[in-house]
Amino acid sequence: MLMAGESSTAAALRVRRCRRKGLRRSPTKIKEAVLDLISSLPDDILQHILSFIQTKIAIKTSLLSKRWRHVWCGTPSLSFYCNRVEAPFINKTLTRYTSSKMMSFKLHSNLSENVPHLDSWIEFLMSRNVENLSMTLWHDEYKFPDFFYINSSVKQLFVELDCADMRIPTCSVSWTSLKKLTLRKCRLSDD
Amino acid sequence: MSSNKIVLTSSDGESFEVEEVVARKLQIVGHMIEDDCVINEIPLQNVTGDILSMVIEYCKTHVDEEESEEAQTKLKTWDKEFMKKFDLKTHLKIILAANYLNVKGLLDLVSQTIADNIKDYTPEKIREVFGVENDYTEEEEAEVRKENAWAFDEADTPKP
Repeated sequence: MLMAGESSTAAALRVRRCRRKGLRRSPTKIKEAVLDLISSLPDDILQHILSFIQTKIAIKTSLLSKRWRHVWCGTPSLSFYCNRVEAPFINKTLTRYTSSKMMSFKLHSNLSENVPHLDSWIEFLMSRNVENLSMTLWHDEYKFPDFFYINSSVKQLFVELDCADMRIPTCSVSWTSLKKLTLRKCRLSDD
Repeated sequence: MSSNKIVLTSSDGESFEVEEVVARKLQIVGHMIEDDCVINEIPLQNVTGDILSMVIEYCKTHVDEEESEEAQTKLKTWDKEFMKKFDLKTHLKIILAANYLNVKGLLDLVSQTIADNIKDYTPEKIREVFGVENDYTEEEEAEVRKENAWAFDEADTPKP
């Protein structure tokens, strides 16, 4: 009984404190808020959880509370499905991305506006030692840069090119860690 | 060798006798076995008995990782049902345990389950479901929205 009395007093105090600070929170949530277990998980677990959802949605968690503001920046996996998302936003996401080790990067792109940025994105991924790289591109014209073919971190590579030919590289190919390569709808040409 | 029994003891003193092949699914134990520092009882300080029993149930089911598609489908169905048995609070305890005991498959399974809860909800709904306290002031919240404007544009900003 005493404990119940104490906790409701504590809850009342919290409500008052919250009101003073101008926080918007309903008193009925107090009990749950005390049990905010998810926010007490370490960053690496939260980031692992966020790696299972699209980056755009993962970023929304920054709104939850101060604890969550920068958590997404360190998630080991990024994925973009851009049929309308534009390149500036991906660029912005990459500048805010803090993890030095990228486990996975997935890109579905059918906007030709993205093409001029693809090289710099690939360069970024490689600088973060990406292990699992998946690119589905519906662009008329795109040629992978030479540095795409020289890499020691990628273990799994998936490429789907719906509209463009995959030109056989004229440079040497050195994927020293590659275990699994999947090419879908890639017409190889050597012009 | 695989018929060796190992006793795993939880932080609250509950003991579980399991086959060595099952215990090895807990990589923290697997490493101890490889380093020869296992006698046959292993105290696991950061996990309580109720959660450890769930982890063991998962490991027993996943002890033979068969390659066949049929076996994989069966396991996936089992995984789904297994997760349904527990509430959110328990999911969060299992994820901590799976991380500590280093059970990769279970860590991914619970992460996926929690991620599924996050991905379809608005931030307001996520706060409600998980009991997250919003400690931003209105100004701070507006700043975060601005910082990540592109991620919020569809659902939250009405089109002019």
